[in-house]
Amino acid sequence: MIEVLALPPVSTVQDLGRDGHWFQGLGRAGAMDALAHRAANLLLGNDETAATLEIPLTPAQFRFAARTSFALAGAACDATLDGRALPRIWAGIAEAGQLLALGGMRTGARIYIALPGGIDVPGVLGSRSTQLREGFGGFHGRVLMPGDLLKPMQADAAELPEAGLSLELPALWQPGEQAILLRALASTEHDSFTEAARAAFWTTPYAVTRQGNRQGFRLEGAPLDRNSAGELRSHGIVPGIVQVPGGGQPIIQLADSATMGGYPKIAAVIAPDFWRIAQARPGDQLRFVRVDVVEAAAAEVEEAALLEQWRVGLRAQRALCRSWC
Amino acid sequence: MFAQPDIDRILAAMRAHGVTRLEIKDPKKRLRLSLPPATGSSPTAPGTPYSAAVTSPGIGRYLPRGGDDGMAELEPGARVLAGEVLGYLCSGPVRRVVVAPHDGIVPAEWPETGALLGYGDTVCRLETEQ
Amino acid sequence: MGDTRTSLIGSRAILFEAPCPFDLEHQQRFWALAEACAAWPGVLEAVPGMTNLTLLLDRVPVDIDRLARDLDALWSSGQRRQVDGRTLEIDIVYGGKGGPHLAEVAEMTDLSIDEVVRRHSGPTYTVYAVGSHAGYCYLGGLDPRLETPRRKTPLTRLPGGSLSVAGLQTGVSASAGPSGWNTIGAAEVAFFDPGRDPAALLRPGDQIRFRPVDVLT
Repeated sequence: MIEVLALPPVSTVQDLGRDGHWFQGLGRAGAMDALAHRAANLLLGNDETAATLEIPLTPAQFRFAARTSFALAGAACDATLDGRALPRIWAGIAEAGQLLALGGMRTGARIYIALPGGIDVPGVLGSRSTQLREGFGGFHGRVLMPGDLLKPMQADAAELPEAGLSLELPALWQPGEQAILLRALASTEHDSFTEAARAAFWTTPYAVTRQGNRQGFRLEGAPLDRNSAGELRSHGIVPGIVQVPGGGQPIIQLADSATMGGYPKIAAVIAPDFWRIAQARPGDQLRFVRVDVVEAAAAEVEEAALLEQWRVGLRAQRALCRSWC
Repeated sequence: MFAQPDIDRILAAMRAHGVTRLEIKDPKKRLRLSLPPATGSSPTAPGTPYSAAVTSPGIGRYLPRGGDDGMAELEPGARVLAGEVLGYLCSGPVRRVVVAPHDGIVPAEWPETGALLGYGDTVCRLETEQ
Repeated sequence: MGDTRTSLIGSRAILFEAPCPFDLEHQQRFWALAEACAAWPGVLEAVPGMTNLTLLLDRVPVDIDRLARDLDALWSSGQRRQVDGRTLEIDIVYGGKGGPHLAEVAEMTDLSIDEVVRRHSGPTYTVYAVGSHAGYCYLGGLDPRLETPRRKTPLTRLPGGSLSVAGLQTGVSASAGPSGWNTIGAAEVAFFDPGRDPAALLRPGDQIRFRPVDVLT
């Protein structure tokens, strides 16, 4: 059990999202950085769908009410356990009474905390994710506040080496790149943008502005004009879609995306790169790299292989731990 | 009978835990193992610095702290406290954390990044004032 | 193939559009299409939009050309699905704090405020599609004289129960959130309740009537 001592009012309990209710207008919700969410769960031997706490703003402090294992993954934030510095990806044991402190985030924008078996919140409509707009799911349908207690689904600590475990996550920036690269597919109205707009979109960086949350980010860069005007009829949209309202500055829809929208769509970021958007901070530059469906499918295969490598590696580590720890 | 791999694993565990003598006896088999005392822990005069080996808790490739882990690099000569992260032993993407077993001074000598270490191998020697 | 269009809106999501008038008859063709596509292998959800259709898939559609042909062929069959829905009456306070853009809409349409209210509360609207946010209903049947452009900069937070118009569309928000539409009134209705089955109050084919209880300036 872990008690929230201090936490800005933007953190929510999330899992991999709520599928199957799109037809009712209900978005998926779920962890913005599903990769870090999965890493935190896998380090504890949890199911990857177990609920974690998503923290998009620090500083934050937690007190462990009982001895438990826990995992931390995501942004670098000078985390300490009773004053002892922790790696940004870490799973280990906390003793009753110990203080977990997260400092300012230096690179990355979201941190995930996992508890053994997952955070114990009720499943609603097939998921434990917080549906912020509708106010249900997760921890009483709301953001976490000081004084809240998060319980693990399992009382026992996970099998971990005493000094803890860490995991290698892919780098947010590719070597030599000033911008975070996002692979994207051309979307419905792509060809209706001017040639200059299309060229700018695929070659120049777009900065993450301060106007961003779980629903989406507003970006700032070369303005994107269309050849055709006129209102579109409302149509389906999904996380990753890059829309361009009349002002010409793009918006990316994220985990709490609406299910329908009406702005022209220039591109769709592929799902395996969502985590990169989630870890982008205001001021960070994003650059879109055009891919086709075949490349998008290959990127999913690549991501699945990475996850399988984590699962196999951590299973082997747990087996080793059982015999020698 | 004990197979050689079993004996090797027991030896590694002994090294990891600083055990120098071990005897296993049952009606069918008997095993006696002895190791030389860990180097560096020989008695010295009070006040003189001495160094103790930090041994590897497993098999893996050495990765120093301060890369992509969000932690500051360790500066030789700086103080570390017991339990502080010194580096990692990596097998694939999994990283086993190596921590300081006791307070000490960061040494200048470390394994090369990517060097393969086995159970009980010396990761570094941590200078201590006693 | 006709001049229908199938495009990607995500790694595993496609949008199907057909050039057609924006009316009930054509919306019924999209309802029929949604029902048929929902049974296709690999389709997780088939959700009608406003004279368009979104398919959520279980993988990246590397065979998007084949999907486009199948959708086009099905569309060309001209099949319609008629729904015998329920009718919901909703009390609306037009204008005031809950309808901050009423005067602007009157100006943009060159109508008096009373005329905007009269024309807006006159028709029986049909739920063409459910989406945007949970339980929200896109309605067909708006008087074309009330057509207005979307706002250039969306409002970041509009309260639940807000009645808005944009283009030839109108609707009442089911919960608080951002909106790029022109808000002309307010209501109190629970369009979505996760404890209810189904959670959404209305579905495509249901009908809504707006009853003006007050007009504020």
